[in-house]
Amino acid sequence: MTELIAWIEALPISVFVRESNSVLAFPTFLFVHVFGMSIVAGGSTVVGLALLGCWPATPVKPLERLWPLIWIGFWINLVTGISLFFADIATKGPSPVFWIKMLLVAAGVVLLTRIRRIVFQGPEEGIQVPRNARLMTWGMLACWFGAVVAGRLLAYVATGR
Amino acid sequence: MELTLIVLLAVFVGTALVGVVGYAIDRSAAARNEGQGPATR
Repeated sequence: MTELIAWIEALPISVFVRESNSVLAFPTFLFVHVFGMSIVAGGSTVVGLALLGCWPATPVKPLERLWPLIWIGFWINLVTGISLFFADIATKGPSPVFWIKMLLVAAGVVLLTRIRRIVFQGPEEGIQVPRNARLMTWGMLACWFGAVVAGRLLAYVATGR
Repeated sequence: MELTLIVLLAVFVGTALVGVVGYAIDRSAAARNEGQGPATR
């Protein structure tokens, strides 16, 4: 296991992100990661608040077009997140905060997918928000909020350098 | 046009969420640690 961690930390991308003084290294990866999280959490929050009835006069159906954007944000986050994790795997890996964040992200993605399947089937006039979908929406909002908080806390609780 | 507005709203909401949460945590930590901020790498 120790050899695997050392091998990952010695990967060129890990070394670049961790040790390069270039603005394209750690600062850019972190900025893009945060921007991706803004897209995912923001898109999900807009959809969630609409489904919970915050804007009753606004049609919900057009918000389905946010899903491709949310997925773009997710893939950006995945790539930059893996790079940032690899660069500091020895300290981020053992941190419970990191794994709590991963759990919240996974739960958020599952809930987002299920909400789309339940709510956005059929035409606009057929859109119903069943009770279980409302509960899922609250859960999804909590997951993204928790993931954002955990992500910020990682800068404090897992600092080995 | 409609899609652009929806996307802008989503990005705005997300940026506000991440920014407010980050600011609140940083302020809280700074108050507790006498001005010491987070590790940047």
